[in-house]
Amino acid sequence: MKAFASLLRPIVLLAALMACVVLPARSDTVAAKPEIASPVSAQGQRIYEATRAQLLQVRTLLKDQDSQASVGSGFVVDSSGLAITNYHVVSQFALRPERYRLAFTMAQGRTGSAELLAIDVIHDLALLRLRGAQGAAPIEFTPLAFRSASAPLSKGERLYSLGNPLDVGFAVAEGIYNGPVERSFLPQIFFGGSLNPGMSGGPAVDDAGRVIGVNVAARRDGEQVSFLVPGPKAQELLQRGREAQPQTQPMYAEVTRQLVAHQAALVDAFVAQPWRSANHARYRVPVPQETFMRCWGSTSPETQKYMRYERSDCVMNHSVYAGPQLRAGMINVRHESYDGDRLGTLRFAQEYSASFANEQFGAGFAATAPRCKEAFTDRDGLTLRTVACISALKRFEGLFNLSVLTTTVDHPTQGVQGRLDAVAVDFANALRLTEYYLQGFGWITKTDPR
Amino acid sequence: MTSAPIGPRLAQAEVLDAVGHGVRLIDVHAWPLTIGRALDNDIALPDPHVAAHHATLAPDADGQLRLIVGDTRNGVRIEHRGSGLQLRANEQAPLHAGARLHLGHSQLLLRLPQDALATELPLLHGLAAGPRWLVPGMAMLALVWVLLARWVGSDADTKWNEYLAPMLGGGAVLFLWCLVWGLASKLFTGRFTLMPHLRIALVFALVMQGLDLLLMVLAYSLDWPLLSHLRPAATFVVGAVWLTQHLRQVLPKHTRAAAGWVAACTVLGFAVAMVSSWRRSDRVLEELYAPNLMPPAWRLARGAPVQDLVNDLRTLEQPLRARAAKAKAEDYEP
Repeated sequence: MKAFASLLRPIVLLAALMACVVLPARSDTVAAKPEIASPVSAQGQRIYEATRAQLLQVRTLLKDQDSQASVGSGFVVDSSGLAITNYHVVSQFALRPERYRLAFTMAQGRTGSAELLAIDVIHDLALLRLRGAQGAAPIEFTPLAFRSASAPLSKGERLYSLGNPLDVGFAVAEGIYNGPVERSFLPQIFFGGSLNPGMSGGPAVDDAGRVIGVNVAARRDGEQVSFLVPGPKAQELLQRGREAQPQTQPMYAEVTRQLVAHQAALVDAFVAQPWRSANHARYRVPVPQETFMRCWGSTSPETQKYMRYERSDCVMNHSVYAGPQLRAGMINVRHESYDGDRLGTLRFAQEYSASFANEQFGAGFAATAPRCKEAFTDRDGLTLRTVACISALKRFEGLFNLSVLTTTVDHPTQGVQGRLDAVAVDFANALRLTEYYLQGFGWITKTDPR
Repeated sequence: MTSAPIGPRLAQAEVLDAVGHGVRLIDVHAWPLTIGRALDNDIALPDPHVAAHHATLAPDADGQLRLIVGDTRNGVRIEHRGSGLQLRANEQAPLHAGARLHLGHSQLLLRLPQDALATELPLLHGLAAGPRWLVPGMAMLALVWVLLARWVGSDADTKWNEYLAPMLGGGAVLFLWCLVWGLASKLFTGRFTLMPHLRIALVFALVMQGLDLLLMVLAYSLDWPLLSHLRPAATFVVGAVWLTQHLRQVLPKHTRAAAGWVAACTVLGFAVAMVSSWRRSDRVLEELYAPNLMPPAWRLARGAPVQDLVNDLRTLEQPLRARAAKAKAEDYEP
């Protein structure tokens, strides 16, 4: 589509940024701005004192040396030494246990190694078993309690997020509970406070010290817009993985299994919705419901007098971190409607064609080169030129990336170009999405321009 | 030698330097003809790689001209119709019409009265000999093409001066291209020729552009994406023929060799392009899809049901799975 549209992309990217996980801190990341010291409230002080015994820093170290590849946070959930953190904090170990190992440091100074018992890739959680250092006195683990689901929080309640931001030191950050994130396919809590890299996996607790959620992500384009995984998801993982054996082999098969289940639910929910109208005068153009995505609109600049267009980008604001090369579970839909009646047939064809040619398919290392099929497709008399490309994910067997590009070709100076992208779906769902998307096109009124 | 009576011309020998340029023409009035570096030879060659008495030419009892090699380290090579015969010291061999002798770094061409005379060659040949209207006609066509391309690629309020740049730029490139070929002609044939190269350049530039456009339009109209994918190959082929035509003008005596080289380089170049495209993107032809849309009236193919495309996509599953498995084995640690 239009190259000049790239100017407008940042706006859309803002939404995509929401998916930005609070990645494990590295020592070479930008130094945090020196914060103006604000007096910690007495409540915060009390919370920190009450939870520091359960708080830990989770470190991913290289297998054969003590250098850390990434750090995050975690918290003890069972007196036998079970702890919860984020999947993305330990994903390097989960996917390449032959290269990495896990270690932890507790707020009160005790250290040891950690074993990975179970993961919930979709909600970005992992369950660890902590082992005290050999020869040292055994660590007494006291678990943090979860707040009961029967006592829901109300908006505006104070929350305290704990963790070890940027490997600087254990810290407590005050914030506000703002309810669930709107239009998110997966449940997340909107936390009005600062989450910094390194705090991932740490607990967010209410003023009684009960776990509300797990620190997971923050928007980098705003301030104090952060996200928590709801506590019950961590409890589910604890129940499921409590008895599990430590993982010693790469967990690609397990990650893939979870991604497959997730995409099945996502695509089912997506295709169950009717398309919205794009309010185009001639064509029925599929625009998704805004139940778990948001559509951003933009239009051609004022200076562009001849080829005018309107653009709609519908993006999911949350993706699933599956590994360093893959953000999965995303469906994005966009279209551009063009009007070039002052250009004339040939000039319009030239610009319209350039926009159709200016498309990228299958970038990145995680997937194979795309293979495409193209054809004129008929939608109840409306002819579309359609290119559908699929590439296979190399490490997640049975999952594919789909891109469907389609364009109307019936009017000499008007047209609509649309595109649907889906990341990490199975083949049957790739076909299903293709069909569902193309069926969304059709005539509204047919007036033969010829 | 001055006192020798001048008889009828028995033969004519042309001495060529190492590059193949004729440096001396010698009329032969009597056999034997001696060749060597010593001054008492009939043909004295100041070539340090030639022996004092290198070779002698004389007819045998049957009247057949023979080459008798003298006492030489390097011998003589006889080139005849593309094949060569290396003679060592004191060997001999019959000489046939059109043979070329290599002695040291010098060459000798011998014309005999019984040799068939080739027909007179036209001054211009091939495309260069086209009709008079060719250059102005093609130049007009090229001009119209450039202006039209600029017009189609611009907005409706494009000012006239914006058409000047592609027009003048295109003309300058064309002129420089022909100038370089003209200089090459001067280097190898001794004559500077601009017009023949201009004809060739105009015709082939237009053919190249026209074919590209035709493939683009047909790929869309008939829904044959392959035609669009083949556009770079078509450009390659037209370019190769184009180059061959210029080389024919520059190396008129080596047209077949030049054509062979260009063809070989084209095939090789295209093979390399295909292999690297295959390595990079699993496709022999780089283009992923036919990207050009044409005005609605140009479309002949009709739309097929969505289900047809979906069924077509179904065929990709197995190859993609196989490719992913291969990539996993190749790209990642075991």
